[in-house]
Amino acid sequence: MSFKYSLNLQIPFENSKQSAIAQGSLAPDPILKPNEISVIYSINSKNPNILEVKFSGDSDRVIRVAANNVIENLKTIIECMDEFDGKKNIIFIQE
Amino acid sequence: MTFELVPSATYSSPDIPELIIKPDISHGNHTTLGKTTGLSSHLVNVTKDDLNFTDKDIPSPHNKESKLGQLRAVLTTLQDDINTFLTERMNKDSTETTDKDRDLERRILDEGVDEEDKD
Repeated sequence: MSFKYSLNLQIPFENSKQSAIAQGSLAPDPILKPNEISVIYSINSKNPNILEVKFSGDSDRVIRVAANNVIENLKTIIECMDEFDGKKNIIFIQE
Repeated sequence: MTFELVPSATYSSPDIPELIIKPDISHGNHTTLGKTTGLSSHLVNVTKDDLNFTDKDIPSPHNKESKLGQLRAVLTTLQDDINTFLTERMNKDSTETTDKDRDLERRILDEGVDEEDKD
């Protein structure tokens, strides 16, 4: 199905591992109205540090709802990476 | 302050072939508190006199020392820019639809034009 409206997000990360983790975390999220919008996650072919998200929809409204939702999830993923990535593993022992 | 990881978006529609949306990084006023996210205006109104109300979903402040922390703040700005842009277009569409409906109503009432009998 071809849609008239589209929005492509380009999100740069520090390295290709982070962009792949973000893609793998977002991709399983099901599309609620596949007849109205499609969302495609990919890694930029020239720069693997960049995650690309392509929204194609039949109105600005569905694009806005989907893009806002994906960005919200993306911010949570980035926050998790920022908090935990690169840190030493810690084993918590229950006393 | 320099931002090394800057997200962007490219929009296209039947009337706009290509529009690049990029957050303004010439200033450092990027935070995780978006203008278009957070509490709805309805909830703000309902809770404005409730002194015990606290927004538990408020995002944590970004880490200003890390690239990912800055990315999260700039991404919030991009989210605001996209939301504002698309909301304006949605409002414009609904105004145009209303104008079209009003024009049809005026033609039927004033000129006696019946759209179904036009052909």
